[in-house]
Amino acid sequence: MRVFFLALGANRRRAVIEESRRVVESGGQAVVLVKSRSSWSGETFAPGVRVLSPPSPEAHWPLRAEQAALFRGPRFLLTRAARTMKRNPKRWAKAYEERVAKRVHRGLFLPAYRKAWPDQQQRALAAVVRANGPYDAFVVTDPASVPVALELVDSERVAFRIDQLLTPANSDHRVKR
Amino acid sequence: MARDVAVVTPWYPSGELPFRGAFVRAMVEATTPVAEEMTVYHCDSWVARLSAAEDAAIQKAARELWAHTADPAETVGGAALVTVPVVMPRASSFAEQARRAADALGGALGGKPIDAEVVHAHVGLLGGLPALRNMRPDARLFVTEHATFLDRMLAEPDGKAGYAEVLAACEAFFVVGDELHRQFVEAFPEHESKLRSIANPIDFEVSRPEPVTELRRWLFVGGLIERKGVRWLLEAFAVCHADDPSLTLTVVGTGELEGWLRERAAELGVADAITLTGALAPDQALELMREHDLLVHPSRYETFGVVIIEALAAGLPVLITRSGGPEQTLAGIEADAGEFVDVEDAPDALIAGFRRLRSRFPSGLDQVRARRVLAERYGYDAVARSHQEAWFAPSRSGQAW
Repeated sequence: MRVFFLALGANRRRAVIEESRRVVESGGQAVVLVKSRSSWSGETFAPGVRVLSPPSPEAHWPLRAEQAALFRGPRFLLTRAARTMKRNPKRWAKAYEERVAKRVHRGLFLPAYRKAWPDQQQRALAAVVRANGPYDAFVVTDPASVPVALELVDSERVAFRIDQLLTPANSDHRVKR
Repeated sequence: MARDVAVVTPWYPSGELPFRGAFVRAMVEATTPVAEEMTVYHCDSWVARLSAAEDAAIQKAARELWAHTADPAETVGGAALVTVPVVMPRASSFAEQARRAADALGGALGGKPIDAEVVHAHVGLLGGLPALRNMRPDARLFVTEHATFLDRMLAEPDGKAGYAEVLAACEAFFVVGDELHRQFVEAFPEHESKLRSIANPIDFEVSRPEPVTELRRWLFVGGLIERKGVRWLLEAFAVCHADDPSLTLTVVGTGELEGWLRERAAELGVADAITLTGALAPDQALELMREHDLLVHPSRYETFGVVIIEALAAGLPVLITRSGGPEQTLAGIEADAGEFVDVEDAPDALIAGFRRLRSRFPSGLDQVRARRVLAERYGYDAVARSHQEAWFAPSRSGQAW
């Protein structure tokens, strides 16, 4: 059985570690999708568990262009100007980023991205799933993963704990749901 | 007469919290033989820091996701286990937690009521209210209360109102321990006739292969929090270890005092004698009980103290505090089971208690008698009988079942 764990919120780590281990131990394949590997740096996955993360948002070309125009370019110019005027270049750059660049990024560019590419995150995640799938089931492990699972699910079964897949209730049992 | 039973609970052992709700699982295991079918609805709080927009989007998606959800898992006794994630923003009030659990359970049920004649909820507000909101009009509601934070739930006006609603609607309200019973009588004197005392079920089937011969290997099982007396435990162990360097201490559990425990053990020079296992599955903890010589449980307050009965069921003597529940559960067999000490803000009582216990061990204890008496009180058969009598007896309105 190929099981895809959605663990984007990283706030139920012990369950993810334990349940992915059980999939591998039962002879299945476990792939865990995390938002950022740094959030899991203190955790150890069982051998055989694959951990993936979606491509960084910086890979999206409009954001790369904005970063160059709004952050890297001005930082380069300000640093040179500050040195010429014998001022602290780091302080100038930081002041610019806090007072101008970040505000413009949050107030202007982020809303524009969301409007122009509303499904960018979903597409990135879907690409990860497609590139590494197919899967028999998704295991949703935290709140942040719930809407993502709904977007990604097709014919896969969805579980909220691995026992639903490894030890399902007897088929004779009337499902009370 | 159909004997389908649904259990609604905020706590059930999971991969994230393997200990939480072990007593609910034991109750399910004990009572499945008296039910035709049993389904456990675990309203599992998934806490996260969420904006209002994120919260709304996640809740909407969760309801839609149920259309794709796999069948329930099988749990103990052949019962079905439905895990219902309850999305919970941080610092939600107890009443809000109950409301969200009720909504999430409704989503899981697809708008239909729980398909069972008998609905048994654990924790009046957090399990009882979701059960009440989602059961059939003709279903009978029973509740077991064992929350150690009942006083905090009752202190919230909405929390108390929720309890009042559940108490008014239920057939019987089981309470674990006299302290909780007292709190309910004080808060809801009009419902005193519905209150019944009950014990958490314990498995007495498996014991240790060889009896304990010396009190050398100490064991603590529980949360590493102030209420469990972890600080006294360590200080007392250090003193006793100085008397007898062959003593060891195994600590099972996690909590906010874990870091302090490591640092203080090093300061006291006993780090090498202490093993911190972290959280273990209940089966692993029971296995450890069969490999140790003494359970030390220095809690400040317990409604029942299930781990103490589990230890005695596993043939382990106990060194415990008079913390509420244990005085009742071990009434009449105190000296047979081990040693009681008073709750104090210093480790002296524990140290003296250990020395007394060691001086009269083993002839001063009667583990066989303690085990037999406890099996009669808290064994699965006893618990199954009491639930069967309540669930399938004629209802209060006189309607035959």
